Amino acid sequence: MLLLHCPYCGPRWEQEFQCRGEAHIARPEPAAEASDATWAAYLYLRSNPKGLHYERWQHTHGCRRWFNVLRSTLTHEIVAIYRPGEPKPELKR
Amino acid sequence: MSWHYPRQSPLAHLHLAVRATTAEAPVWLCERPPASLAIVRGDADDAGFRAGVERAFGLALPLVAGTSTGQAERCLLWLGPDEWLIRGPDGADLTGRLGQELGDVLHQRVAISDARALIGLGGERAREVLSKGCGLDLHPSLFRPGACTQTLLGRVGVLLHALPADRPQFDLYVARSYADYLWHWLADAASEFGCAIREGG
Ligand SMILES: [Zn+2]
Repeated sequence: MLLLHCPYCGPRWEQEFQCRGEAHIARPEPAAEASDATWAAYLYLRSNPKGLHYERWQHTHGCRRWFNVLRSTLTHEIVAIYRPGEPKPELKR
Repeated sequence: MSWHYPRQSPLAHLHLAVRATTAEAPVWLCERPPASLAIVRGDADDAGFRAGVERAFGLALPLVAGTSTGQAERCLLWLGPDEWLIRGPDGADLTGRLGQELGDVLHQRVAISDARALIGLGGERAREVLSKGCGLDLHPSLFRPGACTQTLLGRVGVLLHALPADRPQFDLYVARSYADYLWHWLADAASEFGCAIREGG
């Protein structure tokens, strides 16, 4: 079981959360002028890495707030947790 | 022709009043009497919002995650960084009071009295009962009297409030439609310790 540190509530068990997919996906602006290819990429193309992945999570059964998690899809290691609007932590390799 | 249905508590069908005892038991359960409940959302950094809520109920807005102010029957519970639950006496017009005091201050208020069932749980082994279906660390040094949190218990979402009392005592707020399930889950989890049904008051 993962122990996630909700930025609002503190450490909570995994079942209280839902992973809501990749974070930092920017909507093309102005949307009306985006090409079909740009729009399709925005909707469907994800990085799907084996390793560190920027994700959005929601504390569904707690405070219900959304936040960002930098997590390894390979080892489940959680490298960083930060609130929406806070800068994206850079990867150190 | 109009029909007048009698108001029933969410667990009325269990006839708890006739099964209630005053016997000492390691765990006890009750259905709390009806209460007035409301949710208020607003900006905790807005002094006008904090002052308005405080004027409406005479209780300070709890700003620290997982804390509450007031007592069991009259309290403000932290739900999120901009969201609180208010509990007052049955019939109290909580949203009306909020509207009066908050006026033009940006906020949202929703009456939810009949959307929730209130179950009381107590006794020396009450924490062990909760721990059977909840991954929270419920040790009294962490989940102290006055603490409150939304979490999962026996797979359903509940709001758990550790009452400010000398002996372990909790109020559980659960969606009305889950009340029967949660009651039976609790009674089953408590049966190995010995469980008494109490009058709710
Ligand atoms: Zn949370």
